[in-house]
Amino acid sequence: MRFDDRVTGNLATYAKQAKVIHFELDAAEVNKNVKSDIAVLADVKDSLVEIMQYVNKAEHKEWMKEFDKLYQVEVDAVINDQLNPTKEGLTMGEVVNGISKESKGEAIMVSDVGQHQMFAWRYSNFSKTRSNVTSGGLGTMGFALPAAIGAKMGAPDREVVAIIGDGGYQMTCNELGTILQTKAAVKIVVLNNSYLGMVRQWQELFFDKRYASTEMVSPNFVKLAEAYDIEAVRVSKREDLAGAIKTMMASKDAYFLEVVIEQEDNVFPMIPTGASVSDIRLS
Amino acid sequence: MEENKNFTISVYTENNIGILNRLSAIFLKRHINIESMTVSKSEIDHVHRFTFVVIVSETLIRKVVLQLEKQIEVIGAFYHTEDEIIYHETALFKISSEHLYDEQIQDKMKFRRAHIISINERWFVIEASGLKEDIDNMYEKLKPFGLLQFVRSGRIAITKPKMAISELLAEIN
Amino acid sequence: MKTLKKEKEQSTTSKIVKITGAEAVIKCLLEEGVHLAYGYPGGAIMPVYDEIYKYQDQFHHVLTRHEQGAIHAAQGFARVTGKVGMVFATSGPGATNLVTGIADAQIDSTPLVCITGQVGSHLLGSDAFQETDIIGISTPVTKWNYQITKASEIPEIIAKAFYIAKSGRPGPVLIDITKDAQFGELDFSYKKCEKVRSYKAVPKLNIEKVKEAAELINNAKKPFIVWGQGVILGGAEQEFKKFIEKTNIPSACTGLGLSALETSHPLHVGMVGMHGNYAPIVLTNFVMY
Repeated sequence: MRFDDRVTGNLATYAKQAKVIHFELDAAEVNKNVKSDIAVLADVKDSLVEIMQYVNKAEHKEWMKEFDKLYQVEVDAVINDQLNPTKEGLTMGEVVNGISKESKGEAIMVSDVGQHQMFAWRYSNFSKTRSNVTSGGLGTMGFALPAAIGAKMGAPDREVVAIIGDGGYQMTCNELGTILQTKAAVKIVVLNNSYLGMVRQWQELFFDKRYASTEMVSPNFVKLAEAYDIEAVRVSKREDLAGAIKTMMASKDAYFLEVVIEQEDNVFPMIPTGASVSDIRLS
Repeated sequence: MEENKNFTISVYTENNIGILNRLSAIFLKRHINIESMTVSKSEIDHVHRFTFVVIVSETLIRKVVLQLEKQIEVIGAFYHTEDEIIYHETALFKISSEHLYDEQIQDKMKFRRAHIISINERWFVIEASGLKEDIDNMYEKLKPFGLLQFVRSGRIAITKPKMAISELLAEIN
Repeated sequence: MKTLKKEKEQSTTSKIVKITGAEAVIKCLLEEGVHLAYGYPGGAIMPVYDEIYKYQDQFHHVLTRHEQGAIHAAQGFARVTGKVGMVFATSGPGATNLVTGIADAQIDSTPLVCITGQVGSHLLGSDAFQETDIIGISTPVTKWNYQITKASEIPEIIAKAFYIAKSGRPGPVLIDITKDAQFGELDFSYKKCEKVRSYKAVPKLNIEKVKEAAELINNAKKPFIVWGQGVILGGAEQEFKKFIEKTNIPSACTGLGLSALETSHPLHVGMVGMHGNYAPIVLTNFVMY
């Protein structure tokens, strides 16, 4: 764990009360961002095997309750509205959750970059390792579609679902040609809110809703997929969602599903850039 | 605010093309200026040595040196403060021969243990060496006479503490 | 059109065969257990592609629609398998189109080997057609890179490339091969790289540090774990689960750490990061009153 700036927020107010034990392979990462009290520099597998001999069996029931309490706060403030929405527009959370459930948590979720990526990370229920393929540190839009092709070829027996925004999709949708040629059975889900969502969210929160160059006019994605011989469906109503996901996941071939999303939905919780992690916002 | 200091970094590497680029990129990434740089063979066969001088805080130099050492072709990287090294810099000054008999120039040279290494009717060349401040000083004193050319070497430094390169190599091999 | 087939050969590790640099490239990949690559051909890498054609029974190349698609596909492959992703591109724009993916693999520690074609070595630095200094351009975003100008260098450099890409903290390696090196001939034999004298891939475990860490953990009132991709890269998912189940420490992950532990695990308290879960983020700065 390299204590990325989006994990730590403002370093001056990150876990100052804590003693830090850093299990790390790369010496240059130790004390780079966060000062550690003990650095265990080795292959993590070896460290974990070794430390098992010295750690005691323990319980932290009261401490765990703190986490449960705050989880409930998040459920009430954010999660419920995403997974059980009452408004008409579809939420990204409910789509991701639906796909995750349909695949019993076994699908490899490949996400692009943006709000949809955050929803994919937050609302996927993983049951197997190496199931989250995404562009983390660099945040490269356009990553997901070609990465999903590679993932499917690397794990042909697993379901691979690419979750992509309408912006990122148009950066590398030329790779539909690779799917046409290789017949890679990738499931492509474009969550379309007609915006570059993440930037729009920041413009809403910090730039008084001046949506500079974030409104995105897109072509008919279904026709585009069909031009590449990929079965394609577009869903905009909640009552059509579950069925569409089921059909998609049952398909043995490449499949394209466009879901029209509530336009100005926001990802929360959020730690504003440069703020302390304690300044995390729920809305 | 932590103060910035002069640090001398010694980097031992393989002798391959492109290593300078890789090392200088680490400084560039952190927006650090390289005050001086020298490259040459080291005391170990087939191992090259880079010497950099930078002015940064101690916190930053520790991180930079680890990032330098991380590069595949770097065997070891170390940093030292001014009092942990014995160092040397050299400079050459080309001056018009009309000033050759000037007593002020001759005094400067005696004081700084500089000497003339080349001379003809048109110009002569003074070589001066010593610590950074000595060269800086000589430069200020000779400048009024008009420097036709001036060049300064990078710093070369031997460290007082040991840099265990042979041990590092032995560990892996 | 008759399909050229190369009979499946026995390992050539000990036998010496005289072949072209281009054929050596494919043979090296086969020795490394690589049978799949993504890429896009072009002038400077045609000799290698000719060998890909001849070896098509053993080696499968996927043609993408852009080099960026090729490298992201190789990344996706590497992420799910843990193996080194393989990419080919031609010189100039082909190579520069890889840069985004290389930078992505660098920061996310994904093992990749990218082989780019390059103009003939006599043309280097002359602004030849489709020539770019891809070594210079990719240096800050690769774990290692190297330009091969002689066929004889190929086996050792490719072996080194794979070792570097997958060992220690994985990362992308770029090997630039001039066209004359591809056409040139060499006496081929292959030996896998097991170490590089200037590179310590994995630091030696210090038992004292482990004991100190264990003591701190055993005495901790509010222990909390944040885990990252290292658990997955290190293949330590089972060991990690055993550790947290013994110590019952609430554990959260970074974005790239997701799925190392099943989401439903009672000790998985969520994700940290800018849009992570409320509980683990707030409790990071938990102060006892």
